Amino acid sequence: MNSAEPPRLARWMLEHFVPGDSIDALAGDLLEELRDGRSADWYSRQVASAIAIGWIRVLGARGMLILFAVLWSLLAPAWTVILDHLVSRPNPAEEFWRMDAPFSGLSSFGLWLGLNVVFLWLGMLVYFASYASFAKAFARHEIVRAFLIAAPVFLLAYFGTFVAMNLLMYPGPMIARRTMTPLGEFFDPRIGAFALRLPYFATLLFALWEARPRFEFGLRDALPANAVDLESSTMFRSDQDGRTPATLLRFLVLAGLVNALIVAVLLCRLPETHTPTLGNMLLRAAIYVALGALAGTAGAWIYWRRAVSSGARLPVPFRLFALLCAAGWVWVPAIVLLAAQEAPAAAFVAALASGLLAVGLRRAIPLLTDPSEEDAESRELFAATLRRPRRELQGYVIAGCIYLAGFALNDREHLAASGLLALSAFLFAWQLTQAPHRAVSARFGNTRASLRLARIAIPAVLVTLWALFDGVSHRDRLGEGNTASAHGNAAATSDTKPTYFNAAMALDGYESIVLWPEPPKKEIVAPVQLTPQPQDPHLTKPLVLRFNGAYWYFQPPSKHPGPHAHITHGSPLAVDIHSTSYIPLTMEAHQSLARPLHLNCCGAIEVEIENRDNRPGALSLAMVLADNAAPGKPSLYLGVQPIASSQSDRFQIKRAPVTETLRFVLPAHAPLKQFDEITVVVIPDPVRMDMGARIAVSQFELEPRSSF
Amino acid sequence: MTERGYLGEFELMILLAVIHLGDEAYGVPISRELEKHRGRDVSVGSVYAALERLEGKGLVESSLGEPTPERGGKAKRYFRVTKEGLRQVHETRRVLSKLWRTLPEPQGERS
Repeated sequence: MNSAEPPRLARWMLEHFVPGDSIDALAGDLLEELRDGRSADWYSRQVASAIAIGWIRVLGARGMLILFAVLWSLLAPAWTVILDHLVSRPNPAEEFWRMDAPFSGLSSFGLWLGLNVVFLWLGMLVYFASYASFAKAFARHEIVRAFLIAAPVFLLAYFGTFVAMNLLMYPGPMIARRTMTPLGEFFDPRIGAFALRLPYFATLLFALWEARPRFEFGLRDALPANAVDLESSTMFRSDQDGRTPATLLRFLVLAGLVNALIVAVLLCRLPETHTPTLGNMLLRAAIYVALGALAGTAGAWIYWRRAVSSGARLPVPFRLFALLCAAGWVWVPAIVLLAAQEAPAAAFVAALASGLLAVGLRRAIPLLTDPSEEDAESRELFAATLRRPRRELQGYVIAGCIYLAGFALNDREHLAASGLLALSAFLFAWQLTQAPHRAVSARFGNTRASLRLARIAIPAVLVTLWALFDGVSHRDRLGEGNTASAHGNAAATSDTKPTYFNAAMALDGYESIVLWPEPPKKEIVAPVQLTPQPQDPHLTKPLVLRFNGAYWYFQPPSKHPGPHAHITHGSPLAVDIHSTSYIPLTMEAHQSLARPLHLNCCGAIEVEIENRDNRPGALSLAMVLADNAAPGKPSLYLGVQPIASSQSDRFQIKRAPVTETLRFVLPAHAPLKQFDEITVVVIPDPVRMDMGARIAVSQFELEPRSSF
Repeated sequence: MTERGYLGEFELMILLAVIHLGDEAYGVPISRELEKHRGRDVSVGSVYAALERLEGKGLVESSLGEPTPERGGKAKRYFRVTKEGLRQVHETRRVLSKLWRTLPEPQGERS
């Protein structure tokens, strides 16, 4: 033994970076070994190894928490979009929380913090609830602590991230949301998006760090002595919460179903195109069916692991269970698509899926009876007359469900009808199918279940394909009905079902819209007449151009309507076009000229508009001149002019369109030499960026340069 | 189909070392015991990680000794196998022995 001292850095790292309760003992052991002849290098290697192993162990024990925090914080950019929407949109409720200056900032801050804490609490609730009966799995003080420290930790994390991001990449975490879709927000890989997620991730991790489910440690103490005897025990056992295998299986089926439903609602969409190909739709249907099966399996797997960890012994292996349940989950995308179209077929597909699920499970899972019940029955073999038959409630439940489903279908409550019919079909099939008296061998069961799943997946894909095609044609009919109804065309609207309009437009819409003004009724020549334009590059008197171009409605990142844009006739004064997502809508009016005009021909352009917009939020107009014939299509921006009749101080309800003229001055010198297109861009207030304006351009008046 | 956790190879070795050392089972002798039988270096940190894992499972329990100057004033942490730990070691030996018995004898090379 000598008096060698350990390397300072290694000792400091040992004291500060090794997690766990054994630091003192470990430090003593290493020192003892060092003084017994080990080298300083050995000491340093041991410290490095202890740090690595310690952290791997700590993080490994919280793998689920880390995964959950990552997934929940991925939602943060989409959440902040909703938050901005809530905070900026004026609503009657704001009177309750908005205070006057100088406290107005405080109330806004309080609302912002409150809503963010709600988002975090929601995440924590999901985390705790994911461990079923969490009140038993977590200590109460852990739950309370997590909820209490969320707000201060979030504030600190947000402030820290804000400062760091401003230092690293001024002006801080800015996300151009106009370029993103809601799903894109979730997967946004940019640094700004990750910076936005960081405070949420850090808060969840910090708040839930100490909250660990009890079954992870000390489980063996809680189990009876014979519980770990693998060979002697073949009986299926309840988990530590006392739930029977039958209850657990029901719960697992439901967990998978809910997960499949969530994924189907989020990801299974109709194609944007109006003329989809069969191959494309078939591929899409196959992907959706696979998604349903995978999502259901993943949902059930999470709870399966938990049940097994807490001591439950289930009558079938997970692989067999997943294969059997997947035969039901593969129908979920078709059900969701059909329900979105309010098609009654959704209910019948749900019943079919649920019946198939019940038959599969019943045939593979042996009879699960309570031992005490078995004993009672065997005793009553000699006293049959005293035995009271068990009350069978299933028949009443089945009849009630069918009865209520009929009512729901009649009231067009197709989702409710789907649930009720599914339940009745499940119970009916379960009762009708004979259960095996002993467990099916895993190998045989897996093969049989795989073949069955393959056989069922094919019709599931076909039904999903049908749902997709039906959805596209349904959407197209709605679009036609919308256009017709906007113009008061009674004949056209009579073919449509107006009650479906809102639901479908909320689900899907057009990727972009081109709105052409209605041609004058008495006009014989279809092509639009253009106002004659002078050959002289300088105007001597004002030139009036009647607007006869198109209005474009589209969403960023597009800069113009796409190839599948819905093209129709109409006036922006009569239609009500809005975004069905959180992405803002861009509205532009485009006037093409018959031949290019020299930029020096005029000194200003006056645009006369009609305003019939009664929604809150001011509007402005920007003007852009472009030369589409020149290489590179150069353009000239003429600035923004507010529309006075839309400003809050002059706002009044407009029964008829209000005419207003806005003036845009042309610069004397500009890189643009001539122009053949005038574009008017409607610029709304942030509160109304998701809707088009009821503003129509009447005419342009080009003023000669000499006149001013 | 049932699922359960078995003792890992390293965990089993540590349990055996703790049993073998008896009242003198703390970090240094356990590591030395393992090094002696395995014939290679053992990270003391990994020994502690495994011991904490076993303690969490209720297979070992620990108690602190008196701080000593040669250890820089740090106390030793002694480990002792619990009844359940001993039972699991026996159970693992029984299962492994049965499995070993099914191992076929190596056939001699044909000349």
